[in-house]
Amino acid sequence: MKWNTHKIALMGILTAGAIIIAILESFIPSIGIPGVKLGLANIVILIILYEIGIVEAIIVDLLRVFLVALLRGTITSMGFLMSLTGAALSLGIMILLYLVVRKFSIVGVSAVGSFFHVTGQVIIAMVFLGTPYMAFYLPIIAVSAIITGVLVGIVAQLIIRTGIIKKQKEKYKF
Amino acid sequence: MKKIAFLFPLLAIALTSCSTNNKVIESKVFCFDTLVEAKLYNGKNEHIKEIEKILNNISNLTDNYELKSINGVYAINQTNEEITIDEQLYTLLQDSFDMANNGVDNFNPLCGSLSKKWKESLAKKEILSETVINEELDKINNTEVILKDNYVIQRNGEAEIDLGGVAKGYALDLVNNYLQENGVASYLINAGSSSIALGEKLTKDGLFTIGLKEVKNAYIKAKNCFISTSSIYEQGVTIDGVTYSHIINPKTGSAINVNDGVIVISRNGAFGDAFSTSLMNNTLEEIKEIEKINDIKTIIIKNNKIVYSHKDIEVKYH
Amino acid sequence: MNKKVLRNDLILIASLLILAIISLVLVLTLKTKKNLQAKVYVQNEVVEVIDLSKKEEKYYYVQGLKGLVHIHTKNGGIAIVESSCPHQDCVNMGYVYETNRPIICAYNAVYIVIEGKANYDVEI
Repeated sequence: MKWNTHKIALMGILTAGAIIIAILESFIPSIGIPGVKLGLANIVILIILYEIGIVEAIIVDLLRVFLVALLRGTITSMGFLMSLTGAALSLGIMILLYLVVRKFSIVGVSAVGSFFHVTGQVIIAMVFLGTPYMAFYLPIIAVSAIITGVLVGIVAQLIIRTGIIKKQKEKYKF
Repeated sequence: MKKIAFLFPLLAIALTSCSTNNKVIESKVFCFDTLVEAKLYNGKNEHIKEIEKILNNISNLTDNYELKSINGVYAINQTNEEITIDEQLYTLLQDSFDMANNGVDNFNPLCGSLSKKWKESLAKKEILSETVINEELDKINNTEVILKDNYVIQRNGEAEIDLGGVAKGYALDLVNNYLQENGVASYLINAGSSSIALGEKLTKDGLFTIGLKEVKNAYIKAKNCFISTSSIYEQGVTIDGVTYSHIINPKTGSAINVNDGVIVISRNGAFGDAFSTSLMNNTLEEIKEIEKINDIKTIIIKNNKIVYSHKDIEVKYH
Repeated sequence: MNKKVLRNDLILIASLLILAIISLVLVLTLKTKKNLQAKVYVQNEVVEVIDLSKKEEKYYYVQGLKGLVHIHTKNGGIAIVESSCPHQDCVNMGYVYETNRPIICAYNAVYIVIEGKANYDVEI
């Protein structure tokens, strides 16, 4: 794994992209439980996971969660922990599927990742507010997460197919 | 077509007339210083009238604050002479002293004056002094009520009779007997939530659902029985972190109770009432022994939690 | 695209969706209809129990973690009408008339749950 200046620059751009997407999507209101979002920023994370590397994906994901919380001012709130847990859980599962269970395409992996992302968020919400009542919203949130996950996967696949990242990799040797 | 159309109105009439017209007859009577609600599920208005009569009669006879009856408790407490009293009151007094002397240890029908003094004191947020308590206990121990023939009694001493602890139950016994004799088996009579008489509900299992106010989300199911409750929660006064109730321990004169709440399920209202008062000052061990030799089942509450319930009682939570 | 992988995807996504939709249907249909009461919690403790079957129009003010939360009942429904939270997700929820739809204000740790009232014949 080589980190040359070109790679750092590319990573920077991609991270910024993920952050911007995340902040923009935060203006869409969440159903029922505050803080549960669509997860569109995963388009970038998925691309990095499939085209660049696992470690890079983890780094960008964590950076995204941390910086978005900092920028939006929610870093001290329950929302930050929700995002963190959701991201960690979903990325973990997605890496597992990508590496070990090589039976699914990026679309399937994205759908599963999306599902676990919101599940992680809801679980933290339940722990923090100390009640099982949040679970009532999980079904509708899960349905929308799976659908979003599929769309995110398709978009990520389209972008990968255009070969932009591959060209960058070959050109700058990382 | 026309023939079928003809059937519909007939069917409609048949169906509506088949519906049970068992309307609940309800009545609310203010007596025993509280609201008594009677619900008859298969009764008639005349039954309600009689129930109201019985309740008001016993309430007036046992009132020890005002002269509501010339041969009632208030009248007895004014004199040390022989006095002829109402037949039902005589029976109640007899039963009460019987119970007090035979196993219902912490129940004493002579605590009228002591109770009143505690009430006045707690209303001022003051604890009754030891001196006054001892004076009253003296009076109680030196008072005798002689039950003679022909419903004549004589009170020797200064302690006042107070049947508040059994009056409601006794009245419910009379109501229950009346209803049974007149074929009304489905009813619920609630005397201030502290004495309840249950018949059988008109459902498959006939069980009533009884919520326990003092324990969160708890309830039991019962039928054909009397339920008596005593607790510190409703009328308790807390001074310096200690809660004093209206249930006085006749042995010590204290208004502090061993238990926070007692629920007694029994087959006799007066019996259940007397025990629900008495068991407020018994330990769990004593209560378990008492249950073995008396036909009662109890639920004991402390700190809004059930600390004991008879094995035949199923407490459910929703 | 590898046909086998595509088929696996479809199976995976379909099964996830079916699970989610079944639970969604359950949540939407299995609700108590009659005799409802609303319980208002602040930080997991019940601060108010409101009998919705009375259909009263009334305001309630609840002290949340970071400010006052205004609650209004109307026609057997309940809503948070004012709250100090930045996102106002709870206010935007509007009036809720049924169980299975809790109103949550995470910022103030206030949530309202509608449940069936216990149907006791008598309470002792």
